[in-house]
Amino acid sequence: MNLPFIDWAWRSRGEIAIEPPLTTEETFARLQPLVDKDTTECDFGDNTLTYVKGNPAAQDRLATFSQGMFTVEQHGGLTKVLYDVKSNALALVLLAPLFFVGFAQIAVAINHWEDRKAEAVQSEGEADKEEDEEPAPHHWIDEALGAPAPETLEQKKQRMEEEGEQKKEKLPTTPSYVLAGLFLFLYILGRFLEPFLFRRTLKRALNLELAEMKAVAPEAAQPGRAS
Amino acid sequence: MAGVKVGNRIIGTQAPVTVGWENIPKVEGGPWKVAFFTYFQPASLLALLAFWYYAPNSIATAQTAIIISLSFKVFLIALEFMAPRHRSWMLTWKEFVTDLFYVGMGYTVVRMMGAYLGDDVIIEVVQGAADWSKLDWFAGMPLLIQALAISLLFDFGQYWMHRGMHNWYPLWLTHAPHHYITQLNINKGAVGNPVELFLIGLGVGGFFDFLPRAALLAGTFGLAIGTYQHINVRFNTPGWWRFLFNTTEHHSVHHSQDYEASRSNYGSTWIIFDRMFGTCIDGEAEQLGMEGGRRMTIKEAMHYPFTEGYNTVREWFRSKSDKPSAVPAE
Repeated sequence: MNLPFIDWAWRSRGEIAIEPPLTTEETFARLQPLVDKDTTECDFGDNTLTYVKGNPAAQDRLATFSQGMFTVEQHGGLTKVLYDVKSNALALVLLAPLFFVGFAQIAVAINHWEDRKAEAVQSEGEADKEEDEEPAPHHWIDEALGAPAPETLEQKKQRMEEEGEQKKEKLPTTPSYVLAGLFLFLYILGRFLEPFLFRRTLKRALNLELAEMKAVAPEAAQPGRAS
Repeated sequence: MAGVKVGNRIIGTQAPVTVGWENIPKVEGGPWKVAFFTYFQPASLLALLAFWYYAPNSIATAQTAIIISLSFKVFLIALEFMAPRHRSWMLTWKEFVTDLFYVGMGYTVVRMMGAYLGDDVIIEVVQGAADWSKLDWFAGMPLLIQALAISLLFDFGQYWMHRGMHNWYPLWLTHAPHHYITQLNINKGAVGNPVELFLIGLGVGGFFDFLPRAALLAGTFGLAIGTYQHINVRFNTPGWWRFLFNTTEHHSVHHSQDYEASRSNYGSTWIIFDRMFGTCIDGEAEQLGMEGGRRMTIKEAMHYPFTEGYNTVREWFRSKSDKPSAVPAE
């Protein structure tokens, strides 16, 4: 789907200059470990590498930006890698607050319906109100050890009045709103953190600095390997 | 892989599993570091129990429990970053938001299921049908005995429900998505299909009348012990703790890619039921998950029990209707 005005929310673009310059084949060979996984579909063009990671592993370095394109440009003896990558995870995290706010609205409707049902039962005089019982006294061991005595119903009522405690809802809505806020925060965090980490990973791959690449001799990244 | 014989079973033939506490690595470093990772677990359990035992009634509330629980988990997440057990289990942004979505499902969808179908509703129906009253004598016992009994009773139910999920296919369908996790982190306990999370939360505690403070103390066992089963931190856990309680080592064996190892350590907070019923394996594993470590997406986790169940039933009917035609006798 092409959404040019809002896709900045889950898309990252940029370029990295490679010093000293590499051939296009060498550049792709260095990027290969990032896309060389069972779950990655790759397509190599003349100077482009397109990848789609269907379901990347948790520790896959490109798990967040699971699809995109790398383009290698050679200009005046300089090599540049241009990247344009997308993240389904960022898009879904951006939508997650809507899900939880939506759920809160459903909970409000259910609570309202429950209240009306309770009122109807009360007005018909059918209310079989369960009286709260006084709590049992503490065992003598707890008294001896100094645990505070259980709160009597009168004390509890007084405390609830003092603290302005609300009536208990059948389905609490607060967790939904908190989660919506949390996902919004995590989206903002991810929108800045993940492109930064992606760019850092890309730079390290191009400089053969990734841990899995250090084990491989530089000569392994030979031209033609990516073809 | 050769595997290790544990009782009548060979563990670790399909994926590496370390068996025996003597083979588990220890925390290394200076004396303060070693002391912290040796005494943190028992010290925090004792501190939390003392807090709930002595806190005034105005503080000993469910709201305080939520604040403590969230703060404790935030601290443990920070600890995961500072002292990871395995680099291959490091929490990433994507893993965190995925886990948090499942946590959110627990606070919303699963809670809604619980409000209308949960144990309290079932127990109310049972009590109404038989005109039973609650077991009042329970509330007259010492607080810590009440708390222990609540915790053990709930865990005993969880043990059998969990073991049932690994041994009866319809229940396994609900539990399977949880076994597709490929690393352990604090919130991984919430990862799974909502039906499973609803089922595992069922208990018989509602039959008993207990003091609110006892329930808060019982919750502490879950928070200060049960939480560690999904943590990516290495502790020098004391031997008595490992004997009594479930640990991340036990639970990593349960989540191992080795099938035989995964059929062990079913307890949640306590490991003693596994010891009693012969399903305990003391050890640890790093390679977790199913199908060689395939990560299940949220979408698949939501529909898996239903689509997989439907496919199985369809295959069963097909196999019944596609009987091989009679082969003429030669």
